[in-house]
Order: sequence, then C-alpha cells, then structure tokens
Amino acid sequence: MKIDKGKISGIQFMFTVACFLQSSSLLTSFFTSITKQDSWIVTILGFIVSIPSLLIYTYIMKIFPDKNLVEVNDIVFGPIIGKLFSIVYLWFFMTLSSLNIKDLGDFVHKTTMQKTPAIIILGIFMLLCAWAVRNGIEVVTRYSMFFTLIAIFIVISTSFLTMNQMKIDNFLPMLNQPRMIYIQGAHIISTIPFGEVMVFLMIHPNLEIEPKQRRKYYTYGFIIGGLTLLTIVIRDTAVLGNTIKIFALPPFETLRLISIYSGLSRIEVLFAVSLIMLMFFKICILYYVTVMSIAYIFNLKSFKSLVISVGIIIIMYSFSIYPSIIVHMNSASKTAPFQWFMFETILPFITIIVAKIRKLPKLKKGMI
Amino acid sequence: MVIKKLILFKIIVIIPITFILTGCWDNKELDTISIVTGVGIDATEDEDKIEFILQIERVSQHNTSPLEGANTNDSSIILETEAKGILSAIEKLQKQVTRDLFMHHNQAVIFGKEQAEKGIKPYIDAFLRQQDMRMETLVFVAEGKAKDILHNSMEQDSAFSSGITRMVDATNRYSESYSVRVLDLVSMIIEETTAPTIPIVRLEEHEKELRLLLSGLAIFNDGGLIGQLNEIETRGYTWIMDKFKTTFIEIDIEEGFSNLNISNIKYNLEPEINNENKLIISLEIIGDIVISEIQGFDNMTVKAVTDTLLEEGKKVINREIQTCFNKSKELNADFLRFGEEFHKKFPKQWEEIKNNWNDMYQEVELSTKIELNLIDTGKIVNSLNMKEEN
Amino acid sequence: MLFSYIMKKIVLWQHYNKEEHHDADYLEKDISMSLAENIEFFRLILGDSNDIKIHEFIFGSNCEFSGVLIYIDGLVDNLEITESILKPIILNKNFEENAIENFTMMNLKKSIICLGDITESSIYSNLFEGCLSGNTILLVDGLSTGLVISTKGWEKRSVTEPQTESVVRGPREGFTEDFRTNTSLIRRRIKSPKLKMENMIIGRKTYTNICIAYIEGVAKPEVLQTLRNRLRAIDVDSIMDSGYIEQYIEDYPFSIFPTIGYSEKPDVIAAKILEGRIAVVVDGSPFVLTVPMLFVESFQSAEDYYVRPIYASLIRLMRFFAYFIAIYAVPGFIALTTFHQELIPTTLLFTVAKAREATPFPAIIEALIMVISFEILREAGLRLPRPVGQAISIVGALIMGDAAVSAGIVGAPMVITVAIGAVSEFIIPDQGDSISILRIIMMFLASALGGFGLSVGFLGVLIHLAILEPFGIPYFASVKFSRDQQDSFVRLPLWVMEDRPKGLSYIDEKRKKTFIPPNGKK
Repeated sequence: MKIDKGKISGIQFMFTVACFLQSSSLLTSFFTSITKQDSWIVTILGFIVSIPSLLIYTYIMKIFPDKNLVEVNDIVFGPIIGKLFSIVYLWFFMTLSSLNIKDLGDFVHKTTMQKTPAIIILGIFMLLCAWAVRNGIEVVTRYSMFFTLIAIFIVISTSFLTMNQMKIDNFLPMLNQPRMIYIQGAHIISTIPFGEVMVFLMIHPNLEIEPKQRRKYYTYGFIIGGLTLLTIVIRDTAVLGNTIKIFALPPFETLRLISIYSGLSRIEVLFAVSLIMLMFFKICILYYVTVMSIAYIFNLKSFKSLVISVGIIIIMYSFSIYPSIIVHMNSASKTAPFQWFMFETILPFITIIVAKIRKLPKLKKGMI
Repeated sequence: MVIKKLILFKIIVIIPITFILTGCWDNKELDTISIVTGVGIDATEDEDKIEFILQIERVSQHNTSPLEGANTNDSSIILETEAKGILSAIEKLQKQVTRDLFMHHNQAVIFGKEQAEKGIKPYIDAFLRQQDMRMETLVFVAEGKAKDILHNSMEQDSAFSSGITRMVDATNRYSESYSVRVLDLVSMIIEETTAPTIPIVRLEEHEKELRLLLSGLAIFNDGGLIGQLNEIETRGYTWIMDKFKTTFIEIDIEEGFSNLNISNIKYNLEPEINNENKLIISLEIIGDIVISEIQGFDNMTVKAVTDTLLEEGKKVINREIQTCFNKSKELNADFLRFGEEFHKKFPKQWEEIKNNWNDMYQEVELSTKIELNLIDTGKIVNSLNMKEEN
Repeated sequence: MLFSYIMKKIVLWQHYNKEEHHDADYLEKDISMSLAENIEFFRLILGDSNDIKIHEFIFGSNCEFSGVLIYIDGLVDNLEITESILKPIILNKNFEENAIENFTMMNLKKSIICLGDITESSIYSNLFEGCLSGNTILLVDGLSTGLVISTKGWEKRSVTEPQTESVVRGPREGFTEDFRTNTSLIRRRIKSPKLKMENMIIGRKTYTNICIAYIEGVAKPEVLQTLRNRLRAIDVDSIMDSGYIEQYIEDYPFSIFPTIGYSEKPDVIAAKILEGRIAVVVDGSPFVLTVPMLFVESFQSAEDYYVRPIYASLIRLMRFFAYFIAIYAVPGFIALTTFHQELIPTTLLFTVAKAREATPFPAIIEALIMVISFEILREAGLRLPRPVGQAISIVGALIMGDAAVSAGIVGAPMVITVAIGAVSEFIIPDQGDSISILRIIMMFLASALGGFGLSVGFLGVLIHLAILEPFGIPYFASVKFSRDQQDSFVRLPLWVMEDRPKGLSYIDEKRKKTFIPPNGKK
C-alpha cells in the first residue's frame, strides 16, 4: 500500500541525490573552520568514508525494493520494536528538517534581512515547501536536474571569475595538522552532508527503476554532489587562503570578492539565489520524509492532511533547537556527527544484520 | 477537484496578504540611506579614543551648480566624531545625519599615520565582523591625517574614495603592491610571522593645488606602524612578492640613460634550509625586455649597448631587491612573507623556526638570480647617435 | 469565501443545465409523407424570415411528382442549385413506367442530382440542421425521406497572411473563418491516411461545427478520449470562437498559465499534430486550438524550424531570457533599490540614488504607476485603428515617459526598467497574460521581502508549473523528460531530433528512423 503514487525516474533520482548534497555548500564552515587549508583532502576522505554507508543503503534498497524505511523496520524488527525504531528515525528526520530550515533562516537573516522576524521568513518558506510536499514526491523532485545544473553552472562560472585571485600557495602546508583533526573533519563531512542521503530510504519505493540499477544512479548522484562540494571547498580555499577559517560562510565571502571590472562585481546574489533554491529542495525532501514517516508509522491513508501541521511543528522545533549560532556551530562540529552516525550507519547496519539473520527478503518473496 | 482548487486559491490569497500585511522590516528606500564611500580613522589626544571620519556621497543636487567648478569637494560630505570603537562611532555619526548610514559601498579605509603608529589591529575586527563591511574594501595609511585626505578631491573624480579606487585599479595594471584589501590585510595578520604592509597615500602640493599620491608602503608589526618603504624599496618589495606585471627599469649610467620595459615576468621563489640549519631564500626572475628609450650611448655598437643595458638592468633589479631586503632586516619585520614560505615548504621544522623567527630572520640569506632577454627594440633598431654596425 | 461561492455557483449551474429541456427535442421526429404538411412545418419552425427560400416545383415524365427545395439565401450557391439540382431533375423526362410506386430518394440521389455530398434523412432535426448550415433540402411528395444536398457557398475571407504570427521565412497562409477551408489547409499539409478528423456539433443555438484532428498512433489515446469527453460535455447555446471551446475544456481555469495552445498558421498546427498533439478546429474562428499545451510551446515559434539551428537556438535562449526579464526586471529593480543596495555597482548606485532623490513615492508605487500606465497604453493602442494606435503609443511612450521624469513623478531608471520589461514581453506573446500577472505579484513580493521574496516567488511559480498537468501531460515536460531538451532551450538540427516529444507521442515515437547527418558521416 503506497500513499504517494508519484514516480521518479532514474536520472531524476540521480540529480535528486546530487542536489541534496549540493545544498550543503552552506555548511562547509563546519569543517573548514577546523581543517583549514586541508579541507579538500578531508572532503575526499569523508567521501571515501561514507561509501560503506552508501553500500548499506543500497543494499537495503535492493532487498526491500518496494518498502520504505518504516515498513522495513516493521518487517525486520516486528511491529512493536519496529515502530520504536521508526519513531527514533522520525525524530532524526524532524531534527534534520528543523536544522536545515534554521540554517536557511540564519543565512537570510545574516545576509539580507536583519530586521525581519525569523518567523516570517521561515513561515513563508515553509508554506512554500508545504505546497510542494502536498503535491507529492513527483513535484518535489521535478526540478532536481534544473537546480543541480544551475548550481553546477554557478560553481563553475564563479570558479573562473575568481581565477585571478586564486593562489596555489594557499593549499600549503599540506597535511601538517594533528591527525585527529583530519579524522574529525572527515567524520563531520561524512555524517553531515554525505550521510544525510539515508533519507532516500524513505523515498526509494517510488523509484521507477529496477532495484539493481538503483545503486548506479545513487552512486552517480552522490559523486556529482560530492564533486560540486569539493570544487566549492577548493575554490574557497584557493581564494580565501588562511582566512577561510574565520568566516561563517566561506562561499558567500568568496563570491563577494569577485570583481573583474567594476561592473561585474558584487554577484554574491548568485550564491544566495542558488542556495535558497537548493535549500528549498533539501528542506522539501526532509519535510516530505518526515511527513511520510509519520503517515506510515500511524498507518494513515493519506499524508496530505499532515503537511501543514508537521510544518508548524518543524518551525517551532527549529526555534527551540539551539539558543544561538555558536552553540549550533559547536554541536555541528562536535556532538552532532556522533549522533548522526548512529542513525546513518549503525541503525541501518543493524537492520541489515537482523534481516540477514531472520532471512527476511526470502520470506517476503515466499509470501507473494 | 473543486477542493483542490479551493486550496490553491487560499494559498494564492494568503501569501500576498502575508506579504502585504506583515510590513517591510528591511525595506530601505534609496532616499533613506547615506552611501558611505570612505572611512578614515585618526588618532586623538585621548589614548583610548579614535577620531572616526566618514565620507558620504552627496546625492541631492540642490546645492551644486555646474558653474562652480569641478574642484570643490561638493560631491561628498565629511562627518567626524570621536569614539572608542568603530561601531560606537558609527552610531554617534548616525545622529548627525538624516539618513541611515549605508556601509556596503565603502571603498576605502584610511588610517592616519599617528593612529597607525598606535596600532590598527583592534579596529580591523569590526570590518570583518559586520555583515555590511565588505572584504574587498581597500586599506591605506595616510601620511599625515586621514581627515585631510578624505577632504581633498581629485581632478577627475571629485570624491577621494572613488578616485583612489580607480588609482589603485590603474596601478594594478603593472604592479599589485598598492592594492591591499581588508581580506589581504587579515590574511597577513593571521600569518604568524608576517608583518602586514599597507600602501601609503599622501598629499603633494602642485601649484597651490593638493594632489593625492600613492607613495610607498607602511610596515606594521603587532604593535603598529614601524617603518615605511620608499619608492625604491617598494619596487624591491614588488619584485620579491611577484607583484609586477610589467614595469620600467631606469638605467642611468655614464654612457647614457635608458628606459627598459620588462614584461612577461617569470618568478620563482624557493626557500631552503641547508645543512647548517641556515635559512636561504633563492629568488629567480626571468623577464622579457623591450627598449623603450635611449639617450646617449654615443658611438657604441648596438650589440654593445644592448649588452650593457641588460647587464645594468640586472644590477638595477638586484639593487632594488637587496635594498628592500636590507630594510626588512633593519626593521626586523618579515613583510616579505618569507616565514610563510618556510611554513609552507617545511611544515615540520616550522614549529622550531617560528619560535625564534625574530632572531633567525636576521640570518636569512637571499640569493637572487635574474635573467633578462631582449626581445624588441621598439619601432627603431638604432638610436640616432649610435654607431652603424659593420 | 467568495471563491467557494463562485465554485458552488458553477457546479449548480452545470447541474441545472443537464436537467434542462433540450431545444431540439421536438424536432426529433420523422417527416411526414405529405409535402404540404412538411412545408407547413418548415414555415412554422423557420418563420417567415425572408432569407428562407422554399421553392416548389414539379417534375417527372408527365410532371407527376411535386417536390420542394428549401434553402437559405446567401448561404448557398445559387448557380449550383440551378445547374446541379433543378435542371437535372426538371429536365429529366425519362422516368420509368410506374415510377411513382418505385420511386425513392435513392433514384434522385444516385442518378439525377449532379452533386457529391448528399445525405438522406427522415428526421426533421437533420433537415433543419442541414438547411441552416447552408445545405439545400429536397423533399418530394409521397416520400418519407428528404435529401440534404451540400450546396454551401457563401462569401468568405480568402486565405491571407495571418496578422498575429507573421514570419520572415516560412509559409504565409493563415486560417480563415471558414471551417472547410481550415480543415483543408491542415489536410493539405498532412496527406497521411492516419490523419483523422472527427466532427461534432456543439451549441444548442449556434450548431457550431467542431473538428478534432489528430494522427492515429501518434496522439495519445487517453488524451484523445479526455478531449472527446470534455467536448461532448459542453452544453451551451453558443460557441462564437475557439476561445469559448478553450475555456470549456481547459484543466486549470484559474491558473495564470495557458494550458491550451492556439495558432493561426496551418503549418504550425500541422507540426503540432505531428508532434502528437490534437487540434481542435472551430467553425467561425481562424484560431485553431491544440491540446495539450506545454510550457515550452510558448517559446517555440514557427520560424525556429525554418531557419538554421544555431541561430534558432540563440533566439530561443533569448526568448527564455526575455521572459525572465519581462517578469523580473521591475521587481528586481525594486528589490535592488530598496533591499540590496549593496549589490548595485557603486557608480550606478550614485546615479540611481540621484534620480531617486527627486521623486516623492516609494519604489513600489513608482513602479505600479509606470506598469499600470503601460498596460493602459498598450490596451489603448491595441483596440484603436492602426494610425490612431500609433499616435497613442507616441503620446504614451515619448511624451508621457519624458514628462513623468522631468515632472519628478518617477525616476528615469524606473522608466527604463519598465520599458525593458514591457518590450521583452512582446517577444513571447503566448505568455503575455502570465507575464503581466506575475510581474505585479513579484513586485509586491519584492517590495515586502526583497530578494528572498523574489526567490520565494520564483520557487512558487516553479511548483505551480510542476503541478499543472493539462490532459495528464506534465506542463513542464521538458524538465521532466531529458529527451525533450532537444527542442526546449535550444533547438537541435532537425536531423538530430529523431523522436517526437516524449510526453506527447504514443506508439509512433520516431520522427525518422536513424541518426544520419546530412553529409552521411556518422
């Protein structure tokens, strides 16, 4: 029984994953403030580290091709413990949504709208997301390719425009920091943007592609998103040099520096627009996933009536989640990665193990 | 179907109402802002306080008439106040003007010399922290008071700040030494050993008319201004920092006088630590030479002249570099960023070097290797009074 | 709320219409054997309008038959009636013996009347319909059937170059108000037997001919079925123009985006039919509708396909850009000057600020004054006869614009921005209504929330576009199907476009069999 009958094609799924990752370009300061000029190495490292998690997710997708995470939990752990797991996941999804909408609010607040109350900005934005989410996954993912290509275009063009300010020297000295920093950085990056792709476990039953091909598209999307992030980090490091560690929004500062002629300067608005677009996309997906998990946990027939109320809860949650941006930054670079690690890697892994022990997929096939 | 459209309609109605009824908190019409184009910071008698000067672009035209001549500083308004911090100064000035001060278009930050000697570091923080301060704002040190410079106008650009930006843009075409943005300054401050440099602007009198001039660089250490580079030393700095795009080399020797244009400069700077733990910097500069002007060199063959010129050219560049390097040793300020070179190249030894950098810097050796290739002699091959080649 | 009230009205109204007694019901009866009775009935129904001609005559070897021709003067070709109906019947004296007993309409139809399109009917309603649409009715005493002979021939506009979609290169003929001419213009371009034209008559009083044209195997059957159902459900008394039909069959009457396309050019319609769309030809309208319409269609002009691909692509991109400019120029200007002054290059900011200084109103009011006066001017220029219209545009554009600036009501930069937006709008006439509405919405968003508001508005439009699915085909299909990119932002060479658009076509997806460039090199 599927609540949302929308279909996503393979290419769209690929770009959806890519777009989801690209939207994290706002969050690079979580690790650039720690790893400084070696951030690009850490990005690659984080990418490699998150490959096993990726394999776990695609494995779950393969053995339960038409069951989303909540249903998988029910099957694997039984109805009671499964529900418990699902509720924990629900908390995770909801926290992610609130965090992301909070990030967006902070960004808008910091860059342009200092006086406008956050509730207005978030409320309007959430209303917009709610409109998209109500219309199902097809509407939410429709523009993934469009957004991804725009983001890639902006990243590439700004890289060219800042070429005259880049210095290779800024990457030196390489690998000259305590080892723990690299591990910490890689851990942050593997959990905060990369690991978050586990939310697609809630969406994969809507895919139009064969279970075997899902891994391919998933990985391609992952690579596109990862490469974009890497390019952004490299660009920012090359331009900002050692000052990268002091900025809260390195990409924004980089774009502020663009000045080819006096006319072609001050184009940070490009970043702001693309970021709002990407964040809209990411929040929509997280929001959708939250709504869907509630709908499945309570076995609802339709998710549409939930949308607005969940949106309000997410906004309220986002107001109370961190008292200030400093606490947010601290937790993002210190505590959150460990919490997220549990949801993103350990729990799915346990799911696989239990499923293997109970030989579940076979049983399911027998049932059909 | 009907219900679906109803909801769509509700959304369509609700959204505009939210927008219209919620008001416009951040809406600031253009006639409610004062566009700040320049910031000056001068020392005051009070140790703790600074004199803060703002230059505001005058947008209302009712006071000016085209007949009054372009030289009056009518296009901008100068505001001054004394305060402890930058933001408190801005707040004070806000009460003097009828409109919101809008800092985003600030073109330049100028420190008066006195203030520079007292230190500039504490005041940089505000320029970094505030969202409306941009990182590409240029930084200068005024020979004298920043106020005087902001009061002065330029020939083609009536306001100082837009003029100085253009001036720096113009110099950037051959040398980038004079363009120090807030970002560059911060980058230099963050580097542990580097002594920041900031270009100096000064006023020069030309037939009763004051003109602005970029002259040399100011050298800072943690405390404040410690020295200045004159023209020659600045050229040396520019050579070492690879900031020349193209320049002229002036050769003035017994045989005659010549101007060489050097372009297509290739640069290589290699830090080394030799066996005796001595720090060596080897600098290599290769450039293409075009003869731009020749006076004298009577009765010499073209070959002899070009050889002499190349030789002398190398000497001139070398002299410039060494003067600058000596100056930096004299001030014991590593404004040439050699420390950073060692940091990047020898990260392992760096910890040790860093701690005794002040002592070790005196021991650093600079070896230069300059190679010039003559590629063109301009439109003519021989000079008017040169000997014909047989 | 007002809206729900309107919706309830609409629903009730539709319901009521279904119940209503049908006008034509009392005509649904067989004709009488007696000629006199029939004539009486015709007189009764048609009244004594002087354009109805009832011509009684007798014929046969011994003038044993009496018959009547009923037609409407002006709708028929008089010469044809004389030459092909009256003459053969009256002059024919070779009727067989005992003809009266065996005589049927078949005899007349088959061997006497020299016209092709003849139908035999025994119901009044058919006869009336035929008569009123320009056919001639032939009734013979003693027979229970009548003939409807096609003798249509009225004054019509000849095929001329359409005024709305003029092209530099490409066919210049356009549809006319005549139904047959229009269908023939389509048929002449697609000679395939698979081109199907289904006729139906809509309008209880107007009896308007409607024809659905499509290619079997290319058009999607589900779209076709939906269209048929919707057309059949139309139950109104009048259809004046294809615009009526458009409003009765569109999915999203409250959307600002048009979901049904139209064109005045047969080549455009033929090309759209070949892409898998379905054309609806309406009698009396030179505009032929096509369903479903996709968003990109507004940006595709006929000429794009007649000129070479690189230039066509450039123009195509330009149109998208112009669409963007048309909507966002004014709101963007408002957002920049009231929220994001930091993004304007410094020197430009001084100029704009100086211009702003002299004007009293906030930017949004200034923009509204200009935009509204522009809309008024445009409307004024459009409806007036051409020479006067030009005078209006001169007065409006030159004098008012200039005077408004020098009087200090609006700033010069605002006038320029509005003008750019307005000129851009003319590049994409199909989306004119969406541009005008969106521009005003975005202006309010920009003045309330600046760039963030604009982004929100942009995303909102995107969501709305994603939701639209006219006739089950995604409106923004070119974003959904990567294959359709070949003909959206750019137009690839014709020999590259092997497939029809994915969302539209059904079984016969290939335009051409294989990918072979003109020079044969792979």
